[in-house]
Amino acid sequence: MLDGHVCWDAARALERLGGDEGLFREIVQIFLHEAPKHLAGLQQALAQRDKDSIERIAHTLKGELSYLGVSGAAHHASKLEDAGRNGDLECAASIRISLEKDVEGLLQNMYRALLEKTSSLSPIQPSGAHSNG
Amino acid sequence: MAEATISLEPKVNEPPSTLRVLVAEDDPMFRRILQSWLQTWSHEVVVVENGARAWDILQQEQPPELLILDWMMPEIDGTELCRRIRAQRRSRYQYILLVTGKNDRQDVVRGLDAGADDYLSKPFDRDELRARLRVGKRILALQDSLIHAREELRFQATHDVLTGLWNRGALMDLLHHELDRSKRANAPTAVLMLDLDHFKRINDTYGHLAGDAVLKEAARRLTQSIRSYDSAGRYGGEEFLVVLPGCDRGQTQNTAERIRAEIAGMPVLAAGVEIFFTASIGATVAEPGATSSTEILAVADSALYQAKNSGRDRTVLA
Repeated sequence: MLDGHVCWDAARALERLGGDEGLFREIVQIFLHEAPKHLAGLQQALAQRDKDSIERIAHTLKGELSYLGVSGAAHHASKLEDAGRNGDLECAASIRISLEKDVEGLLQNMYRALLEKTSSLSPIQPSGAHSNG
Repeated sequence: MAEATISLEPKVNEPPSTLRVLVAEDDPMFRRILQSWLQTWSHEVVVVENGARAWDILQQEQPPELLILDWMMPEIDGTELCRRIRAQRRSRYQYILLVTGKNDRQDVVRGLDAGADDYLSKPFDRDELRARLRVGKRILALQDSLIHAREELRFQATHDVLTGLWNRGALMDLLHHELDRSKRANAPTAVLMLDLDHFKRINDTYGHLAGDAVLKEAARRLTQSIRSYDSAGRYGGEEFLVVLPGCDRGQTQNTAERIRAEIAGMPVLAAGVEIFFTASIGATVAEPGATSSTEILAVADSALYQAKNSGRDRTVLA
């Protein structure tokens, strides 16, 4: 799963999920859906110098990335969360660029992994299991 | 039955292995993970995406007993929720598991201080969550057995072990309350004092176990013959007391006769023989506010004495 600068320990993520591949695919899909929104949100928050939003979105990304086993990117998100909390916007702006690069690389990895998996595993379906929300 | 013991050991069948769990988490990824696991483990799960929704759910009649709350949430965050829940002081304790980010040590401390029982750091894994739920279940089970033990103690403190009727102390309290109430309601209160006839002879002839069987059967027939808002208790050895709120002399006479006839009606089978037994009843009706409980009991007692002296198996209304 190594791709340039992004290191995604998918095996560790799967292990955390108790080896449940169906659930693993589901959460990867949720991430694919959510991450672009987070990136856009970060960009907007920086443009508006909204440090609370920077902290909050970075916190969310930190949680998701570390869960998925993308420790390098999670580290960047954590730094960005700190920068947001401390109101250090210049620092935040530069970390955001690295983080965006990480996440975009990761998203590509994920798409590829999902496509590969479909040949060997059952096809990925939109999760119908989102019952009582 | 005679030696009721109080046990703090969790009952085998309680609490059920299925917990009612509330998950409050704004991140859709973790929401899905938690929901999926909890459902796999057969828990009843309600999932909400913010603290305000969680607070709404907690106002329900039977709220979830185990709460998994994310620390950072819009509107009402995890700590604030903890504080509100603890301030509510529900009789049923709710076990709170707070979910925090990695390295959020300060948050953990604040969360625990605000009333959380335990915490889980992201990224948590399946086995860890499962183990923490087991801890929660253990605490909830312990609480259930404490409540159960308290209820059992409360019952034992107010009831007669053999017959399950009110005991003497509880009867005196009941009579007191009833007299107060009758004064306010301006209604009479009737009291029956009932004594099984020749009970010593039953004990001597058939043994104490047979005597106990007669006492239990007398209690059962007595309870059967009164209304749900009347109170019956064991006053002493073979002596029972009945408090009848709002009964006038006619109703009191009828009730007493019904009880007497019910008791004398048929034998009880004990020690392999049919034992016939009867009861004498002394009855009195107190007008609202007229007398004290001591006086009423004295009047009923002397009426009982008369019933005994005039041949037993009868009612005397003083």
